[in-house]
Amino acid sequence: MCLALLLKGEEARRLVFPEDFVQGWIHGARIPLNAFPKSIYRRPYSSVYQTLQNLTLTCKESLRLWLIGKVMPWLRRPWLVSSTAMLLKSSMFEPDSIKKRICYDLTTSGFNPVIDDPQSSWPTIFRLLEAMRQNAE
Amino acid sequence: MATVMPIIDAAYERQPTEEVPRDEPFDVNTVVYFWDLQDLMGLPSELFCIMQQN
Repeated sequence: MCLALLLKGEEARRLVFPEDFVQGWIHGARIPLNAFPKSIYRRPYSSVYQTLQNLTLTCKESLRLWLIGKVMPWLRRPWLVSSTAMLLKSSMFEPDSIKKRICYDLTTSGFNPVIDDPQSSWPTIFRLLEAMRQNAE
Repeated sequence: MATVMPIIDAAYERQPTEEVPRDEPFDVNTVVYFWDLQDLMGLPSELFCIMQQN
């Protein structure tokens, strides 16, 4: 179950998204799998502990994600715990000039390979604009 | 990091090992931190403050 605790489902409803989409937005959406992943647990990658700055920034970013409802602590070990990595790069757009990207390695933990991912294609920006124009008429 | 890692490792030693069975629905109300602030005494102040808010 993919949780979206603090996302605003009512806003999605106001934007006339389909009701099942709104419900998924509020209560979480099930990710279709073609097999059950094996149980795995790994601590964060060494990049998290490489320097005190990395560790501090990882904890700071985790706190931010927790406050907006994207991550949560656990009392019992979940079936599958994906490793965390922290990528840092300089950025003029960040207040502290450091762009922080926490990565959860769902490939190594075996989750990505079992996602039932039917063949599909995303609309191009032109098809999207065309659809928006047709809806506006 | 030489002084920090033993504190982190000790906190990890107390993490829960009881695994949620694969057929048990996940209950968001059972989540909690496995460490105690006492475990983290000795961390650099900035890091400790962040963990305090966590």
